[in-house]
Amino acid sequence: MRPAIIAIGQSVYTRHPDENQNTRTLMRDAIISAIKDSGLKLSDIDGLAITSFSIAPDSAIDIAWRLGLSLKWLLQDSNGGSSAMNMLGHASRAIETNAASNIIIVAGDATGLSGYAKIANSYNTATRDHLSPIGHGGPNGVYALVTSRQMKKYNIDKIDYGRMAVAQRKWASLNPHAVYKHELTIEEYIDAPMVADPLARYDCVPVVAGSYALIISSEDNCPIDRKPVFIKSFMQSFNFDNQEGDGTNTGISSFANKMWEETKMSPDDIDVLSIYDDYPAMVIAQLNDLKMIPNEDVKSFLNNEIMLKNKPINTWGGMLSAGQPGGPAGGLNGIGEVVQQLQGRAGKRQVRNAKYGIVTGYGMTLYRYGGTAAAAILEVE
Amino acid sequence: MDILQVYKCVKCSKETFPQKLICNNCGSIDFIMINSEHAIVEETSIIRHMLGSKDWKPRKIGSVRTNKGVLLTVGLSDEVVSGDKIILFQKDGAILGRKE
Repeated sequence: MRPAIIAIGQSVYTRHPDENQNTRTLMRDAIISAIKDSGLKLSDIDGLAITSFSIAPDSAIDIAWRLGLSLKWLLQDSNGGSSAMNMLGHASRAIETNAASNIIIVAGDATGLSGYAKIANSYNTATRDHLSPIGHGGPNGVYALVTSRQMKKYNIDKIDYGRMAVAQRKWASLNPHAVYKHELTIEEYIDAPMVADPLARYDCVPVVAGSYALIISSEDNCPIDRKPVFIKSFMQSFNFDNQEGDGTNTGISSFANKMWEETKMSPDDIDVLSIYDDYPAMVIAQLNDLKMIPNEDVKSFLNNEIMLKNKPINTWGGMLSAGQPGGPAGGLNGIGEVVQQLQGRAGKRQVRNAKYGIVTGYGMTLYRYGGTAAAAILEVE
Repeated sequence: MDILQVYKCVKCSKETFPQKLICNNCGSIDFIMINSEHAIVEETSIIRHMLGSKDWKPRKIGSVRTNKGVLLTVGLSDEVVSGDKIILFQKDGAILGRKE
């Protein structure tokens, strides 16, 4: 069977969950939303892929049980910001090989700030043993140092990153699910309190409670009111440089040329992009690795292509404005946004005649920067 | 205060931190611990806010390169800036650096 993404679903995203909202109920809500969007019945689902920082001590099978899902394919992923992409790849191959017929991919978290802080301080043994004792501030400290390196390497000023924050907030104002929809001015960006120099408030993702879901199936199961979304190319990288680089490149750099060569496409062919945006610097790093930034002129790209919205990047507002439920769900939301754009279902955010989109994942901070990266080109025919 | 120790491959002498299971240069599984005292600061940041902490006091961290090329993230004393040569040491499990 030819795999296709046919439906998406989302729970509320909230900074302050009420007593009835937790990771499991939010995942349930996203799944119900996706099922409704697909026209399938819950009993049609025979595969489940799940990622979350906050379902322990439960596992994917516990969630399947609580949802009443009897399955023949099950996956639990732990690759952080790349989990969504990893699940997409595995699920696609499962459909292709008839291991399952209709798979729900779901990501969600409701850690709260203190819960997130605990996760951040014990993210892996390197963090627990060597970064937490110095008070590194979780990922903010790690990516503050990467951002400083990027600023030196490409002659970027702080205000240049602000162009991205402002542009993504404009997109978020059109996303009813975004937690921050009000306009952000460049003055507000510059005046915001510093969190971990040079990162200030609007460079850091707001932690939210929420969940997102996709359904991947065969193209034949796609509702007639939309086109199935196909995966034209899918590539991943894990630990591409043993943490011995400067972090301003990601594992995407190890496969981007191959991706363009194999698809016989170029960056100019891409109509809409969801780039995993845990920090503005990492959006730049991934765009650069994808060869999306002409002549690596980052400053010009930020001031022109992104600020003027010539390149539709993170049209849901990204995690920077819409919110980051733990990390994994943010990646899934980016994929779902491109799916909606390609299906012509993005409402006020709709990019005209979008046929090709690119989605990425990046994450799992090992010590100095992330160790996982992935990219896919999605298309409609 | 203790002197910082990093890991040196017995076969090819490549130094690394934190400890690896296999040397990514030569494939050896044998490492010895050696003192690593000197480094140069490449970037710094001040952590002004800690998620979930209300009484956090700002502290400086930095990315440093030892004289054998090992890249570390360490806590720094306030006066240290990028480009400074520092002495590395360990205290209560934290890797720290102060100006030479």
